[in-house]
Amino acid sequence: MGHQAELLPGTLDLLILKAVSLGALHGYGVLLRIGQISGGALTIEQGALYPALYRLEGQNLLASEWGTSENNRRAKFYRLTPAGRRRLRQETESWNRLVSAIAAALGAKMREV
Amino acid sequence: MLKRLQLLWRALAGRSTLERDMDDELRFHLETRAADLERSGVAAHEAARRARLEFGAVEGYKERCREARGLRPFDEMRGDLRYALRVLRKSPAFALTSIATLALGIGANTAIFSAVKAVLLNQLPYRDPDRLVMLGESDAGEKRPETVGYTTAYDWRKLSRSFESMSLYRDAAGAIVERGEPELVSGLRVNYDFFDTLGIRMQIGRAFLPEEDRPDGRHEVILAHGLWRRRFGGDPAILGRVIRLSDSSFTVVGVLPAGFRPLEIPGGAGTPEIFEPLGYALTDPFACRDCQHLHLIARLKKDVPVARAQTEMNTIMAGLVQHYPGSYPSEAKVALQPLHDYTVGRVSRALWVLMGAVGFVLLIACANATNLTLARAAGRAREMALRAALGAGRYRLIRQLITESLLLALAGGMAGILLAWWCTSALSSLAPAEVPRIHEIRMDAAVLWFALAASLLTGVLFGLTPALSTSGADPNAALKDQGKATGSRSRRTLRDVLVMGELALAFVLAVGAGLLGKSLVRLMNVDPGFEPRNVLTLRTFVYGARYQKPEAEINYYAQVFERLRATPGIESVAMTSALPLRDFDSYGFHIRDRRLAHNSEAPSADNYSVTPDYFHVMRIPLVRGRVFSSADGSSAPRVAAISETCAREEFPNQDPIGKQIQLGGRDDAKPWTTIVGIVGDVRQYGLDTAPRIAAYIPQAQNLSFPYSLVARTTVDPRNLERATRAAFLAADPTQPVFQVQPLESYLASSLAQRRFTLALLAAFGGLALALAAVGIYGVVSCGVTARTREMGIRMALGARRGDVIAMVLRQAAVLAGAGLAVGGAASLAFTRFLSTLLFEVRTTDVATLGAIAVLLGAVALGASFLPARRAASVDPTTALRYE
Repeated sequence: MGHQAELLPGTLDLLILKAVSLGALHGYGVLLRIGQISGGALTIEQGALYPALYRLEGQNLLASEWGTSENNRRAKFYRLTPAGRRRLRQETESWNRLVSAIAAALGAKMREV
Repeated sequence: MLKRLQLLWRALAGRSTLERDMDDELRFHLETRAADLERSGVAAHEAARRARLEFGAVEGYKERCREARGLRPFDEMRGDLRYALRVLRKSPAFALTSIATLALGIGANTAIFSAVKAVLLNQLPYRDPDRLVMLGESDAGEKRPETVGYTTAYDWRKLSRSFESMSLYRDAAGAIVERGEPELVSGLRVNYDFFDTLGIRMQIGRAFLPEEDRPDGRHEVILAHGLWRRRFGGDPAILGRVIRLSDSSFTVVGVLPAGFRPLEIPGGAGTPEIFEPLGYALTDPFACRDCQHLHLIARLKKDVPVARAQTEMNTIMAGLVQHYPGSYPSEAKVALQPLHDYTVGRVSRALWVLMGAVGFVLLIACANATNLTLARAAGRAREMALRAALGAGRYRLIRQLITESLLLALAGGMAGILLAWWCTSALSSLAPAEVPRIHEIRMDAAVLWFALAASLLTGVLFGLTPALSTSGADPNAALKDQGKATGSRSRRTLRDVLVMGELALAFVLAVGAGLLGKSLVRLMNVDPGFEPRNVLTLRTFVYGARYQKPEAEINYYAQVFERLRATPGIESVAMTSALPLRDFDSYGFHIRDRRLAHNSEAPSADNYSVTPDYFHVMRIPLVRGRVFSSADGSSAPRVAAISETCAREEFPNQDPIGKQIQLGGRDDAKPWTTIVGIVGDVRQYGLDTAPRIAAYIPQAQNLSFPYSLVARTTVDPRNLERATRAAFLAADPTQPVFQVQPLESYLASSLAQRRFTLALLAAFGGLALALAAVGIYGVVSCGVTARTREMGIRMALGARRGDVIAMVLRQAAVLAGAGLAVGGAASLAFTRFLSTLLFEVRTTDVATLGAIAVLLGAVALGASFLPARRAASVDPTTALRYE
């Protein structure tokens, strides 16, 4: 497994929104998709996923309904609401700003100060 | 918003569904993960284990999920409840005492509220009952409308503008002989628009027509639902059928609905069940202006206030008095009263007083519960401090404590409702029939809401103070204060004040009960003027062609007398037209050589037509002259006896014997009646009403009344009911006799309402006293516990048992003294409301106040004696080690 990184606080919500934005998923599916899109680089404490899902649903960023999983079982599927989609866009932008700001800060040379 | 509500609803109602969904979702995760692991080659049991391990602490995450859902407040509430239950289960003595105290308070309130609601608050069952008023001629300023003459009412109807309609009614009785024993049925003769005025529709058939309400009419009858079912089997084809009532034929034209509640005539023979047209005309001799014997109910026009109608009627009446001075006393007025007040006015004061009394009981119960909670709070100071130290906010602690008190209050309320359930059925069966509408008492939704509201209010009331004082404690101090079970000084002061308040309230209640009790004793010591014990009474109703001649009726009574005198156990018998405490019948009292400006100014005298033995049977003493004998027959000179009051008031400084009088209208052409005797006064209208002037005439000389039998017995009169009834039926089986009952029962029912109010108030007073005693016991006992160490030191230094007891009792005496002082002041303020319920007792009766103060002081000291003795038996060495 080698190069796995701990999640920064607050980034789990963003990852969930991103994962779900690509199509409705059940909780376990969200876990797999995050692993997949991060190339296995990010580990999530599996149980922590659910309080986050519930909170996002409570904030009306996700909607859920019961459906049938690929292995033919009853599962709860989450999808993005319009509000969720807006939030994802905003969060992505501010994340990118933050990343480039931090990267710029960390890449600074002595003479630029 | 909607979504939140939905969530809230789901949280509250669908709590278990939500939990199940969460379980399902997490299980799906774990199982799918395990299956994936298995596919990658992990053994089955190992896969399940690994899946759980990777997931983390399932229960912890569940809790966080619930939180994330925003359900925390509900979970907290559930937690509070569960915690409260656990805490209360751990101190069952406290919980049970509190619940029992509150149950008594809430139960008593609920029961009395149900009575207040049924009797005073519920609307009368007529259309727009607020617009119904009773009217009557008021000759001496009486406020309660009684009766009016036909012609007067005719003019009122013609001249007034305030009323939609006015309907006269009077009592009427009829004997139904059809099928079985003759039955006397009470009834009313009513104007044709009577049922319209009330706003009642017939269940079947129709109301009367105007042309049926004439002297030549009166051939129709309307039946009450109960009579129709009872006597005619609810026959739907009854309309048009001719029935015999007292030898006359009536055609049934209508049947009233089951819910109809007839207007009852005060002192009437019972609930009216037959209704006939009134059938009066202005030319009838008994239709005269001062022939006051009709009742009048009227419906106000929409938006006409009672006061305006009253003003209009006063003007009209003043005009009539001016126009017909001979027919009305010069100060004649109109009494006008809303029907509701007229019906329940007599009892409303008593009921409100009782409602106030139970309110006091509830306050005392609250104070007791507060005290108990405060006492416990002292012991829980550390627990609270610990919780506060662990991060519970003050709000959180208060909520926890309030939850506990609400839980107690609701449990108390539940028990109280059960208690009230039982009480209301007892109330309506024990309450005297004299209390109007008493049988309409129900535990309905409104009463249950009342009980719930009372419980919640109680819970907050007795929970808030302790919660505030407990939660505000400084955790630092409380934790350091190694389990000292004393509580702060301010908390102790609060408890002292509460106990003082309890004593004060109990004092007011006990004084109220004492005043009523003294009134009742005074009343029962009043000499009614006759000897009511061992007298059987029975009412007769003689009708029919056979009795057209007076001799026939006399003969009928004579036959009955003969049989009765031969009956063992009967000592003597007589007849009277008016039973004391039951009937009243008064006539103008005219003296031959006294000329008045108008005949209408003659005083009115209670009139009795009696057989000679009446005075002997009733033990009414002869003061002077003679009573009647069999020689005073129909052809003998007319004679009369008068009462002492009559002799004193109408013949001042004269000897009335030998004076001549006329009863009713004065007519010099008619023979005059000579007074031959003076007899003792009789309290005709009740023990609390001074006797009015009275005149007696021999039955043989004027037979124009319905009669009641009075029979003096040598055994319990109830044992002779059957034999007496049989004697009448043997003389003539077609003549009904009814209301066979001991004379004493009339005396009892005249006191029944007072007795009832007194019994309830005394019960509440006793309850209040008991609760206050428990309260003072608790406070003193707590004080003793708190001072155990001090007692130990004192005793170690040489104090004796007696000193310690005296010290504790002194503390109690200070409390009791303060409570009594406050109570004394309060009772002066509150007993004013009792004034109309008292009889010859002033509201500030010093003897009663003193006696109650002594009683309360004794109870308070008695309750303190147990803890005082405990304090005195403390072993100094133990006490010093205490804490």
